Amino acid sequence: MTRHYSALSVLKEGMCGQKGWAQAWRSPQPAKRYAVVIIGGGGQGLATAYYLAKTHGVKRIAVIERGWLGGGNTGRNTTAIRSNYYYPESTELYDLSLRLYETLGRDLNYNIMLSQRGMMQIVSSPGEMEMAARQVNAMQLNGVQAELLDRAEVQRRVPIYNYAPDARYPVYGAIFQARAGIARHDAVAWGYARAADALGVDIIQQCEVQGFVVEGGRCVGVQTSRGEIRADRVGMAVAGSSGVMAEKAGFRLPITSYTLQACVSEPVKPIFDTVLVSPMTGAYVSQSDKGEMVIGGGLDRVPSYGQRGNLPQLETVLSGVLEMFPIFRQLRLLRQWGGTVDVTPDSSPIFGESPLPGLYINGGWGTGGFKAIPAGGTLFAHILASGGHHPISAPFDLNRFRTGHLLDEAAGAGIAH
Amino acid sequence: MSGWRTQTGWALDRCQSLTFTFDGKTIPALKGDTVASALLASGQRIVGRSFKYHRPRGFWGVGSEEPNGIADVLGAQHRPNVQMTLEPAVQGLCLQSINGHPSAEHDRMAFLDRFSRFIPAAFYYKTFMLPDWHLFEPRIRAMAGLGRLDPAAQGFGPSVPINATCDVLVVGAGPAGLAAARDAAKAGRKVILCDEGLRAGGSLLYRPARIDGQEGRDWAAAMGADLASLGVRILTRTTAFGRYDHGLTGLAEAQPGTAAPRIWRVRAAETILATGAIERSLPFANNDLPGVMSAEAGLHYLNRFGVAVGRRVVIATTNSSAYDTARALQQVGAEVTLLDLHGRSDAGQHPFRVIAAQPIETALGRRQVEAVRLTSGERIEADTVLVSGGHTPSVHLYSQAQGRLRWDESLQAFLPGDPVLGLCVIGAAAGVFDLSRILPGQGVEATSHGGNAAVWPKPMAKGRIWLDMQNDVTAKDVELAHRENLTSVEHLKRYTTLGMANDQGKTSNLPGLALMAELTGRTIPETGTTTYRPPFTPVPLASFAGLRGGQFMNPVRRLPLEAEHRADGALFREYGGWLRPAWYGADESAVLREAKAARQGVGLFDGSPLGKIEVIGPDAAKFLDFIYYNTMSTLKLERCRYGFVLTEGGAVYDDGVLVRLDENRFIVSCSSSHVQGMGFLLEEWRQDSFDRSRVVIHDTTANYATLTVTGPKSRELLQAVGFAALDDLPHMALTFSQFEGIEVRITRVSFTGDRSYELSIRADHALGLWRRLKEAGRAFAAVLLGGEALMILRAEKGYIVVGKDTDGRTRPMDLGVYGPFEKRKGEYLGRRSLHLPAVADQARDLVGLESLTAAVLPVGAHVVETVGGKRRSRGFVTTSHYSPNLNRPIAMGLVEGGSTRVGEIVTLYHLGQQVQARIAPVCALDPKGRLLDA
Amino acid sequence: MLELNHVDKWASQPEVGAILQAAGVTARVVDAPECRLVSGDLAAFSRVSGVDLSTALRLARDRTLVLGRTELAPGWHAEGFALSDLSAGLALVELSGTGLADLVAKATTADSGPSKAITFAGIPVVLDLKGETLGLHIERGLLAYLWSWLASALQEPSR
Repeated sequence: MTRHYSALSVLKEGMCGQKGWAQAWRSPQPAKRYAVVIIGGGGQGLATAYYLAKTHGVKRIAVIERGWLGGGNTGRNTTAIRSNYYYPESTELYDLSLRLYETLGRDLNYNIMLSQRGMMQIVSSPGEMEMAARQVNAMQLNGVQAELLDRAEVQRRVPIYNYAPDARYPVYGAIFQARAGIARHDAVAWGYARAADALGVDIIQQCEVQGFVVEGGRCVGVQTSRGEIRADRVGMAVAGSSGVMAEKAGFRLPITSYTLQACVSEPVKPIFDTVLVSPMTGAYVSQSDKGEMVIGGGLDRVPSYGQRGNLPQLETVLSGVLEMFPIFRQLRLLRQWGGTVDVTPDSSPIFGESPLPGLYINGGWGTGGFKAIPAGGTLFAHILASGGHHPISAPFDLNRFRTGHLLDEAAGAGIAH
Repeated sequence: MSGWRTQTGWALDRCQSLTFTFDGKTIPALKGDTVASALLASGQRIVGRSFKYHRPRGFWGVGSEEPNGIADVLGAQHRPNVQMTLEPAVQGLCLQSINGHPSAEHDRMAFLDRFSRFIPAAFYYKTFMLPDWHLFEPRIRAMAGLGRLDPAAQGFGPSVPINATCDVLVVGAGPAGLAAARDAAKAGRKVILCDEGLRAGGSLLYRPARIDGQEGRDWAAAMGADLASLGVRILTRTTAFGRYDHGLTGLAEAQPGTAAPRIWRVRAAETILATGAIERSLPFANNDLPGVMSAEAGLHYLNRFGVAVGRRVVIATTNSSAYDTARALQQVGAEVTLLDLHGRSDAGQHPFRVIAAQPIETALGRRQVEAVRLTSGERIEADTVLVSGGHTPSVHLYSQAQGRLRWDESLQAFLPGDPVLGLCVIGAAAGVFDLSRILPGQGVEATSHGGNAAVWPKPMAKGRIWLDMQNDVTAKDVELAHRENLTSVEHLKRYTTLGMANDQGKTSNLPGLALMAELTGRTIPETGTTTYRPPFTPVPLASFAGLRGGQFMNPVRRLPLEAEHRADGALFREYGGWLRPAWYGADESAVLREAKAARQGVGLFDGSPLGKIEVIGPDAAKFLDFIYYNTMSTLKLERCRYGFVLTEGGAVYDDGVLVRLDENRFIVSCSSSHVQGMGFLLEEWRQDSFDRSRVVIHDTTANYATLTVTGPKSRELLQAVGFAALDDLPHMALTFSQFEGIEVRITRVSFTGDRSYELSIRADHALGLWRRLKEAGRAFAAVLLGGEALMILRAEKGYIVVGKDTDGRTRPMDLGVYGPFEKRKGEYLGRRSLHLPAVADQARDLVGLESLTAAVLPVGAHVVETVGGKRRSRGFVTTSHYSPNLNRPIAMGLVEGGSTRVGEIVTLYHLGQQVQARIAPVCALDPKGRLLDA
Repeated sequence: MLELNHVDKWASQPEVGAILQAAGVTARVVDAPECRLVSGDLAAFSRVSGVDLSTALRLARDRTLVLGRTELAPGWHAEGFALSDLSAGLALVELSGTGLADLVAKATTADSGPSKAITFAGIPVVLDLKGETLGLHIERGLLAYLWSWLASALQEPSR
């Protein structure tokens, strides 16, 4: 059985018809009891399981996924990874994630194709340049490399952008984070799943959590479509399903669930080498390694679990993309889709124990969960292993909505997440 | 050679010949040809190279299901990734195949196929980690992608989307769709009929049939005429690409010239999908060789485009429809052998050889088909293999409408399951293949489809059996995915990339999932399908963008006096959604001149975008007490009060002046960039929490121009214009006057710190007043004041600009306004949040900052302190200017504990540099406010 | 940085009397009539003012735009409604011609409904259909945009 991935093993298996590859993960029967049960087999849940096993040495971990692993937002996002946030607390979280991403392929022995091609946020007026300077300084003070580029520098790096004098939004400059970039989203999910499975984590797919087992006011397990499963601690990392899951557990979360749409163009040869966002047009683009332009924009403004695209938002985003990149007028749209994202009042995630003791939450990521997978998993693993916060996760506790210690990134940084 | 031109082909105009180039080769064509039909007729077999292995590829199909025949159209109207089967041949067209260098015929990278064993599906996940993916990425990227973009080309021109409503939308103008459209039209309903082809008719355009004694094609033409006379709108070259909520279907209609296809947003009470079905391939080794084609395409090319796709043709079929192809090719002189996989041996009835129940094991040939070998071992020489594994109904739009598919075992196909409201599926799309069943009672004579059996790829089959030709995915790749336990259909797709290319799996999804089903011991329905997503076929981005772009994107609002300012030499910028003068004059040095002159004498400023939202009603005062941080109900008649409106989180959302006109009537004079936002906020709270019959919100901003006269000489100027009685007007009060018979509302408020008056007059009478002010102003050396100078005047006084000097966390107490927080009893917007524990922790004070040198402090610089070896931000500079009235730099910032640190020197950090500043009172000029009454 | 004077990026505001003719449509900028925004108890307003509500442009359940002069003063009326002057705030473009239906199809998704306030060419517009002529009441600051949009939409190649 070939378990290890390397050029050598690819060569070897090439010689014998690919017959020796081991399974990426098992399909185990769920046991009746685990130390930790994680609800949600997306990037956050799988990463959590991995770190629980790897860093904390926890045995008997299960990840319960109602569909197929990595099939929710992890498989639907636009794959941008960055840590250009405003508040120090956010920066700690997202930059931890970026640093973990930088070695993740090697750590998991899975090529996640992290491409640190930078993230560029276009600045379109003198007033915006002032805000941009504030943002860049904040990042630099937080220990995160960031640059404020002038127009000439932007033009040098992104020649295909619209620099015409009558462009709707002139380019004054840009905020640039060189270490930011993209990764292959499926590979992140599969990489974590395989590594977690190798450490003994049971990944139970096609198993839906239908309720919670509560004894003495404490969550001691879950009811699933494949029977009852008990655990010392239960963690939920279910992204856009958090509201529904919380209801099963008897509490409400300060979240609103919206559809976030994305789309891809047909693939073309490489022509665009960074990730670019323009807050004024409300659109952002990158070119995947396969050659497709991966395009996203703002949320649908009507709450929904629809997970599907619609025309008005598509028209807004694509007109924004073409205003920025006239060359893309040669391109055609290949596919559009949507996912459900939970937005909190301060656009920052939620970590910590839920109102139901024994049940812990990782959620409220809004539109920014993919970039945070390694950090989210690390922090949630710490919480589930110890029952208490990691210093980096503490500011994101649910309690902050009571005390008012919000980390309002949307207001602070002005970036659409 | 292979394909050749025949005497058939009704679509061709043999009197009009033309040429185009393909990979530099000149190709003859006739008017009516597609690029594909012309290439086939000229004997061109290899039209592209496959994406991963660079295998030679030829045309498979004849329409949008075509996976291989993709090329870039070069030139000024460069278009990448064009399907040659749909591209009309026109004179001078210049095409370049994709993936083959220098050409599809001769590709330098063809050697890659020899290493295919090392680069199966997903190999890139298993390597390239060391030393670093970045080392390998550029090469991998360069090998991916289909066509290329041309930086010098224009791309698709704009086209404006059309909105349409109708009673019935029929998608697909084949026999089923035509009949359904006629029935609906005859019943008096408003009908839209669309078809992706050049003309209506569907399969009748190429498949022999007689309907009520007419040739199928003639019947279709007659139906078209009939429908047109019944008022049916028929859209051809129009693809229904997406089904959306609430009965909306998106259509893309090809346009003449270079414009992008026009999008139709059609909302139909009922939508009928007559979208037909796509022929299935058969699995055998090397089934991707040029020359292996769809049997139906073979028939289509022959009857419509006058091209016989080969001379020695083997046809392998599970159903009877392919017999039409066999007969037609036989008639034009091709040598035909038909493999009837059903096992029917009516060999004697046909002029060609029929072999029963002997599937093809492998196609043979190096660069194209040269022979086939059957499982019996028999070898048949051939240059073409036409295959038919039945048809897969096109259920995409039904699925996009959240319809649930059901598996039909006898048809070996997914069919629409439970009905979806407002949607029904007919004809081949519903698994009804026989024309006699689609048009019952109309004397149909046509070949029966004869079953829809499929042959799915089997596990452990020998050789390389292609499933997805665009992404080079074979049966072995499916087996690999299974071996590694990526067995769900979505994992299969993403791991192997099956179905992810331009054709979105039209011919590859089903065989792939059928094989996975077998490998996992599940049935096909248990395995399920991947999610169907729009668009059905690729639609240009430009189609969706429509006209939006440039001046049609987020249009700015224009001032009533714009032309006048322009004539006065204003340089305009966008401020809060309006186009406004930034300064008047040739360059930015005007700004300091204006700021100085206005403070010394008098300045005239066009403040027309200033919000004027009226709040009217007996509950207006009570309502405004809720909306504002400050108590407003105590505001006297004809007086003004400055106040804040907070967000629910307690942050300052807007600042502005509330004007009370009478007991029941107020004007919310909010900042010009927040008018829409304030309007929504007021209306939302009115509807949510107040009695709507007792308070209303009217946004009258656009009705008035607001002309500001500011400076120590402002009162004199206004008196010179004829506005007397201003002596008695106290600060923060209003009075009414007249100008040439038109009412002028004069509010004495100051946004500059000087004595200042705002004159609000009907926008259509503003010009006269403005000119009069300018004229009178000459005697006072009045200056025209632009937005930039106004910012300086405000900064000198420490007046905030919300959003610049405040952020999403700035509470009124940070700005020094404590009274309401400490004293107000009743509920007001944001109150609850102000009393949270965090407020104290997050407090920052708005303070002044003085530069220690002559240099202006940089905006956005952070006030830093070193704590435990780490630099921490304690605030930042929000505003910074050179003050022409103080002759030194001035600045403001939000600083933690700033108000107790006045006089302290602090360190500022800005983009790697550090500079020092002194904390100062926020008001740098005239702290006692004497200028207000100057 | 050297930058275009932004005003040069935008087509200028058309004057009253400006005409556009293309694709079977005649568009005209006409003098906007006096008008008042009325909210609250509309039936009471009708009684007090004598204005027939069916001649006004209904914007919402409790809001209407009344064209023409009324004697009522702006502000609150004890009968239960409020009135504000909007006479100078709106511009009026009139459209007519055989191509009108096609143009409207391009401009709006709105079907005929009780409210005359719709989104037209992406901006809020109040529609007034008088016989064969369609009046568009728009905020005066957006007139230049609408006029440019009409020109582009009408100058597209006709189907």
